[in-house]
Amino acid sequence: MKKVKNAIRYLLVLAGFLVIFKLFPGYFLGLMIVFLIFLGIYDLVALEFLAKKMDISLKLPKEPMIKNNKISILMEVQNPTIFFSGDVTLKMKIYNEFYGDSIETFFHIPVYGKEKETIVLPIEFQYCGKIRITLEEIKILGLLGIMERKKKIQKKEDIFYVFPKKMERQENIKRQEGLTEKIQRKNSNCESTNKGSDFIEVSDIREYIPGDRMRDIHWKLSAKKELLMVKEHVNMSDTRQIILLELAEDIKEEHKIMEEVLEVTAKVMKSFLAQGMGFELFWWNERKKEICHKEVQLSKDISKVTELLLDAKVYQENQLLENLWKSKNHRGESYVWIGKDEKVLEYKIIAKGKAGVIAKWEEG
Amino acid sequence: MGIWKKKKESKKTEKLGDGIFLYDIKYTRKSTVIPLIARGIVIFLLVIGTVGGFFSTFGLEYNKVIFAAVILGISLYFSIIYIRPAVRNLGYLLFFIIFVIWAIQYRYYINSGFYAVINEMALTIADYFQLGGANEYSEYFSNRYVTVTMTGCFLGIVEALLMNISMTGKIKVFGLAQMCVSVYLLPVYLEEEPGLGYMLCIMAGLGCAVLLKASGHFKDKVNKRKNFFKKKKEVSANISYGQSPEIWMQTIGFTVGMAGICILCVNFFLPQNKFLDVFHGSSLKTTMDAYFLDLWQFGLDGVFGKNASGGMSKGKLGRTGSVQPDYETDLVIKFTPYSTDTLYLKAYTGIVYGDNQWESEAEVLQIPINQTPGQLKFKSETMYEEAKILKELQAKWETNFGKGIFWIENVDADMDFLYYPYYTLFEDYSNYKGWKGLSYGEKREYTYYPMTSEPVTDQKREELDRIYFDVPKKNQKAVAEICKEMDLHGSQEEIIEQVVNYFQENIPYTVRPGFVPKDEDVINFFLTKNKKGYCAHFASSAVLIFRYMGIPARYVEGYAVNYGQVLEGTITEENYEDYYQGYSPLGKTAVVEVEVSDASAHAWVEVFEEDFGWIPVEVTPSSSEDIEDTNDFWNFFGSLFGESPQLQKTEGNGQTESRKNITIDSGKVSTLFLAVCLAILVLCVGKVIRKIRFCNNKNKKEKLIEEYQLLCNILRYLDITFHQCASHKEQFIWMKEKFQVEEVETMASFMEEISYSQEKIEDTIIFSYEKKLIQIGRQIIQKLSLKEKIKVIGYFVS
Repeated sequence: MKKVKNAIRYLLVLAGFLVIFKLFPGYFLGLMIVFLIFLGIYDLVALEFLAKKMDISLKLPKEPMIKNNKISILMEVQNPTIFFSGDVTLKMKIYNEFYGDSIETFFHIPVYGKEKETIVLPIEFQYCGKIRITLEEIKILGLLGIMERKKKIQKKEDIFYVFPKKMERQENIKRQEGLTEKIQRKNSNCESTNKGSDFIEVSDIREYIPGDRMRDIHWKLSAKKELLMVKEHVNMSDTRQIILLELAEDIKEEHKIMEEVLEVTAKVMKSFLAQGMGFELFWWNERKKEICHKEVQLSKDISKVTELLLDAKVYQENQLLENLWKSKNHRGESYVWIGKDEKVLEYKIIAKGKAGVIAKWEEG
Repeated sequence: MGIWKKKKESKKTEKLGDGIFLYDIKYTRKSTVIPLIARGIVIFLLVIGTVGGFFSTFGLEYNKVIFAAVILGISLYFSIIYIRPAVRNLGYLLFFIIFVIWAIQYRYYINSGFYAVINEMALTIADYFQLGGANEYSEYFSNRYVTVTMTGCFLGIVEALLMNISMTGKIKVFGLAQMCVSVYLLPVYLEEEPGLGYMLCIMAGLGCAVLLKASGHFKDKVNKRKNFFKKKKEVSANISYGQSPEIWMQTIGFTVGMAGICILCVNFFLPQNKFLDVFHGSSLKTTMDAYFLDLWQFGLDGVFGKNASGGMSKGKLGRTGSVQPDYETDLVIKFTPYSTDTLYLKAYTGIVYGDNQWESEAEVLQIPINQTPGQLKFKSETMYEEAKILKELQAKWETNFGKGIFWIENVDADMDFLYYPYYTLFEDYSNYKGWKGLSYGEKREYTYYPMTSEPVTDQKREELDRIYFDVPKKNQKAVAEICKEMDLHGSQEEIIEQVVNYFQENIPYTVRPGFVPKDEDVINFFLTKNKKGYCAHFASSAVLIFRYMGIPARYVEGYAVNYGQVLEGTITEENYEDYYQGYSPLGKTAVVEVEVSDASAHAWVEVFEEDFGWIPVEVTPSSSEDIEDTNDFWNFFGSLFGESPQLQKTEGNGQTESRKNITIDSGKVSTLFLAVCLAILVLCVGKVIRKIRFCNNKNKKEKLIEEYQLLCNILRYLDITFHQCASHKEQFIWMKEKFQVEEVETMASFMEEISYSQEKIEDTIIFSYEKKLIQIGRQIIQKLSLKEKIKVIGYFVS
């Protein structure tokens, strides 16, 4: 429509001059007509040159991208010719493979003659995922805005991951780990009043042996028995920890719930690691149609496992993974299930999100 | 990004799609000022091309350097004030104040320049249509170099203002083209061309407008639309770049270059002087010429068949609002000039006035045309007695009186009249067909006896008919009042002189006196209300005044040929002696043939002197209004050009020379005021430019700190209690309490961080906080009272 409008405008101006020239021939009017025709010819030639020579490339930041944080994507426009265009349309497709969402964006940018322009696109992603940015095509509009040429781009595609917020900064993780240690220490000092809310369990009570920690003394029982009794703890890190991650999302819902599932997962993973517990994460890969798993022992593995997670795709059936898990004779094993809580269950909830996402402790 | 982005600053992000937001795009070349300057340059090109080119088509001389400097300055001014809405509003206000003061102060110079332009235009039109003459406006000042420069500046400023509006927002290409090209229609029609430089300017300017409009580089927008042809959840967005400084500059450079190449190429293959040989005028133009001529001569009435031409009115004063001669030749006369006085060719004599018209003796006496007239009345009208006296005197004293032969041909004059000079003696009064007049193409020869000396005669004329003393009842009151106002007294000569002087001093001559209201008498309206008119009004009124004062008078129409026209005539080879005998004040001159156009048609008065008879009296004043201003800025201004404004003696309707001085109360005070205003303007513009330069500084961190300091300084200026805030946190808390601004905690910690920390912070982060700071500033400004806002303006000015 814009091209048609421009063509009409150009033709009207030209026709206007031609009519006036026909009525009252004059040098000035003749020059104006020649000038307008020259512009048209130049437009054709310049457009061809420009379409051949100019190039646009994308540059992504090297550091990991965290959701809700601004990232800067650089677009470099190079034009070695002297010709310029006021309006080059860059069609960019941003595809989130994890959710299957895609958007098309058209950037109208100028291209200068013999110049290089770097355009910084500060973009913020609210959802995690594996983002594929594709420069589909560029359209170069002629100076008169009538003709257009399409141009292929050399570097077409870039992929990056947008991670959950809980993985934001290393120092934050450390702080989080420190906090978890404090909680652990606190929990180990006193018996939990709410069973299932921590990972430290009392396995036995025995007589005091010199060297036992004072905080392990069971004072109430000692008073009854008039003998010092101490609590013996069992650490869950001694056992194999399994996390089942349910990447299920109702198509009618927004991505808020899935985002929270990922956030809770990141939180739980970090908590495990903060307590020195390695774990194995299981999830259903909708793309491959299989259960994938990855063992995580160190905090640096978290980003790797998150990338693997985001390589998968959300599916609709809730508790698909859990059911599959149960059906594959894993009944004897304890696990932590993370997903959207749909029933009122008497599970041991170890973490909870605002939108009804839970991480529950399922004893084998 | 472009200036329009500023409007969107309150929005943090633009949603590209579900969960994806785009912050303000950043470009390598981000400048607000350069696009504005570039826009100013485009406007400059267009205005120079239009106004300068128009002047050049008519060969008007003016100071091009001053004109270009003024237009460049004003074009840049208009575009740069768009940097901020507040600056724009203030800028326009300041401009209008200065412009109005300047225009009022020098209105006479501007007017005079306008008249010069119109006069040159009229001359060009007259040349094109090969008209004998042109209706010229009287210019106040003869120094066209100054007046045309002033008018050019005036027109240029107005045009720059309009063009700036058209260039702002969506570039209105058609509006701009209309403003530029419509000005050239008349010169192009008249086959006049502007200079090549002006052509280049206008081509480049219009080219820029077309290209910038096509590229969409005039605005900054973010459009989002659902793409219904795509699958669900797939949306598309259009992100448009704003005003790119580089594109503006490259477009200007390109169009100027292209226009130059274009001119060179065309000039190489088809030079300007050969152009019209190749491209002839169309047949339509030939048809249009006739209409255009009518339009030019008679206005719209001429086009639609209502002839309002000049020439004689045959005593009908009617309700004509204006007189527009066609400058076509009516008569061709051949004679020997004997005096520098105006030569009157008498045609019509009005005796009785009533119903806004004069009636001739023939009409009064009911003498039918083409019948033998009453000889006495014919003799009276043609002044037979007076001619006879002069003939006798000439025979007696050849050294004081002369006798001439006057040859006349009727080309296009009214066929009812004879057109004879004073005092013609016809051959046969008894059997004369004089009442019929000269038919077209008819040539006739008269013998006349000019009054070269005071006629001395002892014979008394017989008593005149009372009809020459008659003042209609309807006019008596108005005439009596004007006579009283004129304080007429003394002899006949003295009264005549007093009337002439009164008219000269109090009633201006104009060919466009306007229409006379219905049921209003023309003479009464002229004398009491309108107080302006042309020759017929003056002559008619004077006749009634003279009659009221007891002086016999009659109304005369004919042609008045001034000495200037005679000098422009063609000298023939014929013998002087064949055309003149006896005394001539000019001595022996050549026989001259003069073409007399209807512009020379005139009305005057004849009064009766007892010892001689009827003599002509000129009562119509000059049309000029000269201005004398000797000690003002413009003498200095004129001296800059190496000339000084001079007063011009102008002639009214070709009859008399006079001048009327109007003094401009220029005053040094107003000039000083203007200078002060300009100085303030320059200072403000300078400040704005400095500020803009600073804002475009590459160091974002310093820029943000500086902006925050500016905000703090303003707050300190507004409220002294702000001084007590020692830290950033306290300062922001103060702002929160006083102006309810938001996000103060994060802002305070960030400002502290960038003020004291040496760590490098990403530009994008600084940019987002800068936007927050601007938002805080806006919130504060919104909460300010009017008084406080004025204080802020005062702060910036100081």
